[in-house]
Amino acid sequence: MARIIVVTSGKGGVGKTTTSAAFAMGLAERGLKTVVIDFDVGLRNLDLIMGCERRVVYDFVNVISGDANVGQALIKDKRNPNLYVLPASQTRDKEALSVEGVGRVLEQLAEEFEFIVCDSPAGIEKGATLAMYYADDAIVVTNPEVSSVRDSDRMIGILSSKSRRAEQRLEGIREYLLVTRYSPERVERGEMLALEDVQEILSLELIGVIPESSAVLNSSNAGVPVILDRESSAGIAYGDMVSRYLGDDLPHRFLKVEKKGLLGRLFGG
Amino acid sequence: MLPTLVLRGLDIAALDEFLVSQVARSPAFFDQAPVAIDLSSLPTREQLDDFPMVVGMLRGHGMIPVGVRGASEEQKAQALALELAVMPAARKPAAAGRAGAPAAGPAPRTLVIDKPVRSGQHVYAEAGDLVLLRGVSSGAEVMAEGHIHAYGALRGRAMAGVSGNGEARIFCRELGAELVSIAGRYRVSEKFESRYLGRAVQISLSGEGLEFELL
Repeated sequence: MARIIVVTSGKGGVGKTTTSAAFAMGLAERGLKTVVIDFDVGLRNLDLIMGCERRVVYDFVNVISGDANVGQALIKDKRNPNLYVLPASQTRDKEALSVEGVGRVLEQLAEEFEFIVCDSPAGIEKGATLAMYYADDAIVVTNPEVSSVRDSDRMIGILSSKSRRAEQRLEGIREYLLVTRYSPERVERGEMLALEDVQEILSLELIGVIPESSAVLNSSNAGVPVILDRESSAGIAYGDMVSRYLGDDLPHRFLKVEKKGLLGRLFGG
Repeated sequence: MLPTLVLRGLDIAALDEFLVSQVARSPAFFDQAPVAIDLSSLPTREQLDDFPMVVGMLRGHGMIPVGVRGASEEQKAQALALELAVMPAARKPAAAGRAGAPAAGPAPRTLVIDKPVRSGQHVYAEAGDLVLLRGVSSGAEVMAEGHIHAYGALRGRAMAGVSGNGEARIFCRELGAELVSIAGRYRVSEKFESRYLGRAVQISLSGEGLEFELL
């Protein structure tokens, strides 16, 4: 039986799709058969971040409306045979999604895959609530910045009341906090919320801190999940996050300003 | 007493005119005032088509609708969908000849919440006190007929004694609320004295208004 994970935030532009791509690729790299689904109907970008935008034939809405079956819509990743992408429709809108339709597709996917990653759109409307409805786990992506924190808090409240698990009074969704775009230098200068402040306001288990990194933009331009950029701090941090999700208790890195030694300052880098 | 708008009909234009004149008479009283909407005098117990507009209109005039009273089951569902509280019907004054007989109300019961109250969530202790063991986030609302005891950080809105109980108090370990009110008398955080911010504070209502005291 597959584990369904929603990557959500409330606020837009904080790193949900970047995280969905990296996380799904990370699971696949560990030999776990994974599918990542784009729930942002009409504003799809998962296909761009995954580098498969030129191979989209059928999409999630086609499958829900019966125009195609799941097998026809799934796109196999060229880098890892364990990873598949189910893209969103670009021409339709979120009214095309329904709770029953999404449920049916997830049930089918659960037979084949071990992990189903749902990349949620921003907001708290239908696309976002459907992406979270069937989730077993939730990764709440938050920038260390006041409006992102408040929106994440709102989203956490909704997760505990509008999910299938909440409605059927089952064990609640396991919620994890992922702080993205963290810059210890800015925290030190007092320009950015410190990790402790974000944790205090949101009171959630911290699954990772992804540092601000130019590698994220470079990777998305190249259509490569950033976790594959092994030299970048963001790639490494996503790797740690996947390990923690799977049970490894790793310490968090990239939280402190790195003091450059004399050679480091002379030669930059 | 929580200011209450008693709706007797649903003529939106007439309601708007009425609100304009009321607010003009005492704008400071209505500015950011929590208000309840009493539906018990309406001619219908059905769902109200224009109810969201009424709520929007009150907000447009600067008030903060927090709940409904005297609602039918359908109307209660509407209120909850708009994230308004469903409050008990206002107590009628004792009739002459029965003066001194206590009004029957629900047995007092304390509501204990042991999870954080998240932004946008709403908690209402309709039968007495409210005990909050975890934090109340900015953008959340907690209300009680009796006292509010907040052991975590209190950051949202806290309203005690909502049906008019002026004896109700708010106790918190860390004051960061956006608005506090007791029996309808309220104060926004901008008007809190800075020495109380982030501290353990007790808020009560005296003849002069809200009183803050360090605990």
